[in-house]
Amino acid sequence: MTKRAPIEYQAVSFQTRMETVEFRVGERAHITVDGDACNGCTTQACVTACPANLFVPRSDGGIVFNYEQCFECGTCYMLCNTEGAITWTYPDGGNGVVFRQA
Amino acid sequence: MNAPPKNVVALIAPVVGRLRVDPLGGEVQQDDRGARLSLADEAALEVACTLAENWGTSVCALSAGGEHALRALELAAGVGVERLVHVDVDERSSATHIAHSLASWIAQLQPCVQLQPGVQLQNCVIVAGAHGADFGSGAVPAFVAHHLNASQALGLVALSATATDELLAVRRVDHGARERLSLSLPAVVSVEGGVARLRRPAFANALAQRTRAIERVVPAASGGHAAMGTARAPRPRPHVVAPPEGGDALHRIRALTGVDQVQSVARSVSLAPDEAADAILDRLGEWGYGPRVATETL
Repeated sequence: MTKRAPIEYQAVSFQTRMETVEFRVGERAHITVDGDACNGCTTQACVTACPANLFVPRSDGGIVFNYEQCFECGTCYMLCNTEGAITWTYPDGGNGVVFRQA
Repeated sequence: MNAPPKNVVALIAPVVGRLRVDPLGGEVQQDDRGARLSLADEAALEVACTLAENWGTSVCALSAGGEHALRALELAAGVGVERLVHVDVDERSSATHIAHSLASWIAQLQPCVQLQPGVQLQNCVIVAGAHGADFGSGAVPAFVAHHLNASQALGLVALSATATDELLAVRRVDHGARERLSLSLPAVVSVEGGVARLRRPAFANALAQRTRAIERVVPAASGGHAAMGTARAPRPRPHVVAPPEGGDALHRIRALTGVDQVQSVARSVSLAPDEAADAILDRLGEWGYGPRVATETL
């Protein structure tokens, strides 16, 4: 009995996926990024790794970060190799990501 | 040692005749002339007759409903089925109620006239069509199997019996594949319309089908029905994703996010309007969207 090839995963655009995720934005920024500490970073892995594209590199080598649509996955904190650049906590109770409305 | 005798029961759904709708009043009339069994029920009848011939037993045709169920049993009589049983139940009842009525009678099945007495239910095969003539849910065989605590295999495309009195079935699964099943008795199976072609009725049987005796059974008040869960929207199957390579979590997440590969990322710049326009045109040229137009020519 021959087997068929597995179904190819239909990629969903980033905007489409983000439209299905609800965020409850708290007053306190649960993740803070020291932009000055990022000036010397050569890899900027957080920019590539963040699934919500929250890290934006500046032309002067720093990083701009917005916490509002954070998935709280912890990837940036795991990959950052500059001590003190990222301060990572969970949002305050009741706030943060509410996953996909589907 | 002789094999224990078996019962073969063919479950057939009531026939649906030609429907006429009154264009003014909207009243629906059903004309039974030319009514026939569904192709699936015809295949079920033929499979039951074939199994019975192989096992040296006879078929009992069972149908539940009103007058249209009687017509279905007459059609079964035409192909030589000797025992015809009609379970009097409202055709508009739920599948669970109809199945409970059928299963209640099957559970107290008396051996057919030609068999030796003392046939146990565990040597019983119930063959049904995957769809009735009205293309209902096709759930009655499943509920019958539940009530009888029997093996079930529905939607078969092939069915045969082995020398050890097991049933070998082939069933459709997703993506065009087939699944082989081995069933022990008692078993409830439903077959698709293309499995077998119903034999032509003998002339004598065709003449006598309207005069054959049909046993009428009124089911007792239904007791417990099969417990039904709440319906949910269908969920897509999960996709199988290969695990990332790496000995520890950091390497695995680097592989997953692709940070070690050359990436083209968006950059935020602050420029004067003319410098911003030049930068945009330069980047478009790098991406292959046409040649860079010199500002002097604008």
